[in-house]
Amino acid sequence: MSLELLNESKVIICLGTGGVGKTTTAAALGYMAAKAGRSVCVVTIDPAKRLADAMGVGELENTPKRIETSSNLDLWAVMLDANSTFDELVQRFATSPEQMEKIFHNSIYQNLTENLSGTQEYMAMEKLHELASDQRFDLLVVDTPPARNAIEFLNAPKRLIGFLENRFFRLLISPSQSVFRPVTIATRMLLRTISKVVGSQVVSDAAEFFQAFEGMEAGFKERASEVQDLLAQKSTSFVLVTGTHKDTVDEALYFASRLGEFDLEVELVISNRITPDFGEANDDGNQNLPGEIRENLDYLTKLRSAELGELSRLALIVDSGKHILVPQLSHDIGSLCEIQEIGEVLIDSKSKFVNSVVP
Amino acid sequence: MPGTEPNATKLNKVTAFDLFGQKVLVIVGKGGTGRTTVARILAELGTRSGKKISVIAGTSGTHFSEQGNPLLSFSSLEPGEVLISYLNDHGLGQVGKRLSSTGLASIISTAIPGIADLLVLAKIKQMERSDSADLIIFDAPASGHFLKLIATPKGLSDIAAAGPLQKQSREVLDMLSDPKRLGVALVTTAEETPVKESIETMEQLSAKSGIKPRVLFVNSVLPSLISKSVLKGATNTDTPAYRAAQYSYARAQLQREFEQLAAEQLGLGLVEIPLVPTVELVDSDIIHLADAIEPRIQVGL
Repeated sequence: MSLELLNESKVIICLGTGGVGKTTTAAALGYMAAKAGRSVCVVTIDPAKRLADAMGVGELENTPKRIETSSNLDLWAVMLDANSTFDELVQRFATSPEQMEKIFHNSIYQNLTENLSGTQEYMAMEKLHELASDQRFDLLVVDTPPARNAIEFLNAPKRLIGFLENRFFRLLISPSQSVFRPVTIATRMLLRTISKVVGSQVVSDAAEFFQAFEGMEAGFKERASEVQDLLAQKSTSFVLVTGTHKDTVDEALYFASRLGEFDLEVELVISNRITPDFGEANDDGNQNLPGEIRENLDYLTKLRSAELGELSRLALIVDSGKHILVPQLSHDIGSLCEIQEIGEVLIDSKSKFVNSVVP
Repeated sequence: MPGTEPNATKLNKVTAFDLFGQKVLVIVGKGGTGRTTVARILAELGTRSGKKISVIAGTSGTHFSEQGNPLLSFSSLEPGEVLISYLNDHGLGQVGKRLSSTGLASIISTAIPGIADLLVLAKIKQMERSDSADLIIFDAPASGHFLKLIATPKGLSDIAAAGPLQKQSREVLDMLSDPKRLGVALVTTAEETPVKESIETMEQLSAKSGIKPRVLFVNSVLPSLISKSVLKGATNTDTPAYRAAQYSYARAQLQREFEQLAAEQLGLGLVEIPLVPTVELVDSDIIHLADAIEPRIQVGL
């Protein structure tokens, strides 16, 4: 990768399925950008403990903290706390303290972050929106929640707003008074059925929830469209992160095919943890290799070639110059030093591009 | 661990009873550790002893093949879909046409977290009670999600004080808390995060439901081809073969460390699944893996 992406983007969003090294990649990109002189904040979601410690975000705080680096980089990190981000949002849009209290105490609201899929993603975007106007940073690198489908991230605002605008329950409440609007017999029967099947508590909790949110959907909607604009800007770059397994590659291909619907495109694909290239076992000098040494090289060569074969499918979505292979290290990533090591690989354009290794 | 050879981990024993002694076996692990691989291998092993096996995937889109095996059947129970069909079956189908049943379903599942998961378990319980299979292997959703799932029935007995849900949750709770009916196999890879998550999962399982897993599968283990003595004996190590050997040795060492940590902390019988040099396991790979694992499982109780 040339430094262009790191120098010119204002926002970099890392997307991929769980377990492919998204958080490490985001940290490494942030590190290299800071090294190139930018003021960077990395927004992480749920880093492994050692990685979190390395970045100094072991405690959930929701406000950026500066990472201590020997070269005094302008590098910050924040770990997303979806619950308090949602609370802040409610605080912002609530028309009165009473409305706010009502929402905070509603059981549906309390369950929302953990149980409505897409809410975490939406809150990550919200955090992004908030930090985008923070003068301290000129680049934000965002790690996204470990969804099964990366596209969830882009669908999140639509989902949450769809939920808040639920037509059926909106029918039940009157716009201004806290009483049930007279409803049709059919609706009443339906309510009775719901109560019978899942309990009347659900109906009253839901009615209370939608009553409490009354008047706030507009604020949420506007906010969501601002986020959408931010994502569509030229200075926002999408980086897809994959592993070497078929399912992570499938997901990347699927994501790229759907991105068009949002008028967005993939800037870069990073494939992590590829078995390194050890070179050919040439004849000279290797005549008397112990059997297990030879067998091991054969095994790794076979593994690497299977991985490269799989990854070559990604040529469908990016030019080979925009696909970076990151080799599996022989140790785990858990320190700034190792994050830097990955970062160096990412910007070393000489040897690691897929076009130089694919047969 | 200075001086330890990579393959010096002491592995606790695993018996056939640990795996197949209950009618329901739940496969639990962090996303990406290979739960489906373990389900496939166990299904293969189970049918070798003549058992009729039903594999249930807890997420839709799971790749599974019945391998042309008449003893094997596969289906999936995705919680969201199960909830919608439950609502439809209970007279809410009309909502589907008028106002999108998924909208109602998402409100209900947010109002009663875990209701969809409870319904999945209820279906599994139904299968357990019928004679459709000798063994039901449940390829559960990723572990964080599964913990919520098992915490559900208890919570639900409080919430849904009446109606069909209460009966469901009581019956599911009975199944979960009966080690004669349901067993749990944990899956991890020999890496830091998955191992730590397995340890947490084990603690939470016992705290929330009293379930004690019986076995730990460690997936994607590099073959320990390289011993320290072989590396030491080399004169010129800056060759492809020796660089590869050093890499494998270091990776294998690291894997053993985490495997050892898991073995010590969990105190479970441990089964290694070797890493196959491929990006997707086909049926013949599964058969080979089952062959490799079979000798590790002791017959008898």
